[in-house]
Amino acid sequence: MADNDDDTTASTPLGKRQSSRRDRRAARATETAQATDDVVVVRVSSNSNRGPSDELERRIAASVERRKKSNVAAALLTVDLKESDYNEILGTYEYLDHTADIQLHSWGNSLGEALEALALALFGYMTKLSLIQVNDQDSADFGTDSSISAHDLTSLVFNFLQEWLCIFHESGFVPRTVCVQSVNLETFTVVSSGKGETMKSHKHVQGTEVKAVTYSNLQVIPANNDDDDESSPLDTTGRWDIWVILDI
Amino acid sequence: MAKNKPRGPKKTPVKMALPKSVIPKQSLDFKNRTLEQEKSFLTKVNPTLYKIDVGFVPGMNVPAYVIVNDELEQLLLEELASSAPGGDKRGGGFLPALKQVANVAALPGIVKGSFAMPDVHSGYGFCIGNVAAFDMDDPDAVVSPGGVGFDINCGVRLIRTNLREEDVSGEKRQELCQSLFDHVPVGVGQDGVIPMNLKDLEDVLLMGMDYCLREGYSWPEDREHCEENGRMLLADPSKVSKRAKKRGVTQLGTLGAGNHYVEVQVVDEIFDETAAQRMGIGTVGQVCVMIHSGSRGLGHQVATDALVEMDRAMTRDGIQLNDRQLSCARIGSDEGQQYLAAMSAAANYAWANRSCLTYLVRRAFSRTFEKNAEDLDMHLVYDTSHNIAKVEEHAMIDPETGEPEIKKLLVHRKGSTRAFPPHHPLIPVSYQLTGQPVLIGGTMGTCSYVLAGTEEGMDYTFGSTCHGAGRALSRNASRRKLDHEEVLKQLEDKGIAIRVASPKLVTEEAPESYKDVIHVVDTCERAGISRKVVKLRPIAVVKG
Repeated sequence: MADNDDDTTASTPLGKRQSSRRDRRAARATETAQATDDVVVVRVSSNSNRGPSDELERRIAASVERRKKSNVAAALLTVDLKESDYNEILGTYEYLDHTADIQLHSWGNSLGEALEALALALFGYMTKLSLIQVNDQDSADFGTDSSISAHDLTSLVFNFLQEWLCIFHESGFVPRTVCVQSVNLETFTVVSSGKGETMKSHKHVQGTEVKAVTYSNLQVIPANNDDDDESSPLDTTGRWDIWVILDI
Repeated sequence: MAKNKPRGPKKTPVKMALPKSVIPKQSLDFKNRTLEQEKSFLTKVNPTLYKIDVGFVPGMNVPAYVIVNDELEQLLLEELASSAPGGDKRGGGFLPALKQVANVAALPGIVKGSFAMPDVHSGYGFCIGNVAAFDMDDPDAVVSPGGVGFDINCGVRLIRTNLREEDVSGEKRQELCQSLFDHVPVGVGQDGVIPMNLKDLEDVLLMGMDYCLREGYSWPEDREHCEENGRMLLADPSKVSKRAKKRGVTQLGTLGAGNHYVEVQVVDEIFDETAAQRMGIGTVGQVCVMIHSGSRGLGHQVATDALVEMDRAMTRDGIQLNDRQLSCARIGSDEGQQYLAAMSAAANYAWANRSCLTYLVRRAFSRTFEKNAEDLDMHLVYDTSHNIAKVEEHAMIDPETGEPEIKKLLVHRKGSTRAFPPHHPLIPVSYQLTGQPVLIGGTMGTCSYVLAGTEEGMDYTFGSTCHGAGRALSRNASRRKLDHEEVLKQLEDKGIAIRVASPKLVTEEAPESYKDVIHVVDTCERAGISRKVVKLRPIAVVKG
């Protein structure tokens, strides 16, 4: 098709093109049928000349049925919404204004506590946290002993939050509580676990999708340490503050 | 500084991601300036152009330019004022857009200037609406993941139909909207219906829209009407991390949440009859479909991986930038090349994603109107990306001889759309006489535009224009100020059918939260970087 310029394509009678596409589709359907007869192959990837598979049609039909039944959109338009339904505060964190995105601010009496609150702030923006229940199986499968390493304090916070975001994106797991088991500021490693469950559309509220964590104005203010002297040893206890901007 | 270095053959091997000489000289002066002192760096060159002089932020190599209108000018100055010294500097806050545009001008190898479009607002690293070009022949020139954004190749495509507004009215409109909502997986954590395994994903990353053509999701003529024909040849799937692939394998053919949408629109006004005819949308009242989506989790992960990698490399090499989110690497370095290959692969994924969404939209239409998509004339008008970095050739004036010369540049566009003029070799044959169609997505309930690229824009902003309305209110402020019911009522009064997966988005994405797209587009036209062709207004909206 590459050598076909637009004008020729546009002037081809519609009927002709349709029929060729239909022919191809029909031909492919026969091929798939034969392939499934011969061996147990669900898909034939090597074939370069086929239309959408019957499997796809079935999948789409099933998904359309599922969504029709769940009636998500209709239900949402009548739901009575209050500000408290979003951005619940279930820890020591707050949401600050940003033109396009959102800024998280969390704090705690140790770096660990500030990180725990930060992770909850992230998930609180994506769904209504109070609806999340603790499912031991999910927690064991997805939320246990996530460990990260970094090369300085800023990247430690970045990697920590990014890791939790990734866990969500890979498994749909949302923790109701997050526990930081260990923080090492010499090797810049954090080990943490969360208890919660995987998100289900019929049970949980959809918040805002968070695309990524950013370094933009990412600030970590350690306890008893007002200047940015990163060479002096840091105290992991005492009040810590963290600010992170998320890309929405 | 970097820009004065003699150009020569690329130094190999490039070990350090960046030369030490580019470390901006940190000076206290920058931190303790008053607002008046800050403003002295800004000059209004003409009614649509602000120039930010070198010195506004440390280490600027070139000036920065902002294309403005009165509304934007006020917004930007307020933002600058609220971040000026005097306020609480400890924690919180974010960089104003003006500082961000200027910070980009401090990156090594940047040419001509750092440009901001009239829909500019503060982002992370580069601001949203920022265009910057880097000289490929300058060994110090850089590529920055922050200049592309997390949603690599986020973009808009427009599909026309032969339906009229009256064919989609009343019950039918609701039925169509529901059918689209049922077909297109939207919202947080929704999986796609396209059957995929890792092998398929590798093909998607390598081939982009050619994959969709092979699988029968796309029509052959679709790719002719897509930037780069829907495939970046630089792509290398092996440079995409396992984690990114894992996120990509389930999400092909999903819309996502936030500002992404599928909108059924009707032609409201035609400004340029000839150009509109070429696009096949020549009559007022004709129904079109606009799809806005990107590379989903895969793209976000590719960007994050690159950011982490470059940040580590810069720490290793002892380099500091004005903003850590601006992490970058020399184009020729391992990190730079790796990012370009991975970004191109993610761009291919985004085109494939929009193509799969197109397949689902065509199916939803053909089910609702009981005709096949071919009979509904559902052709792709064009597909533009507004978050991408591309190698392009541009004519630049040589400072020594004053003669124009062709230069190979790496153009970063973040929240900005390519707008090539008529007769440019990279635009499709059908648009050779009119200029490249530029699709501007409006906001829920307001209007969208099709623009065309101009010769002037080619010389002025590397052939780039705005990408949308651009936010004016923060998300929290939107929810505080606007009432959910009222927003829905207003949409209903306008006859707009709506299906939103996340109720939170109704107010966050309400038209009042955005700048007026009409002003943005008019400003671009006044500045000469694009011209209006068609105005569209929505009749049905499906959102995450």
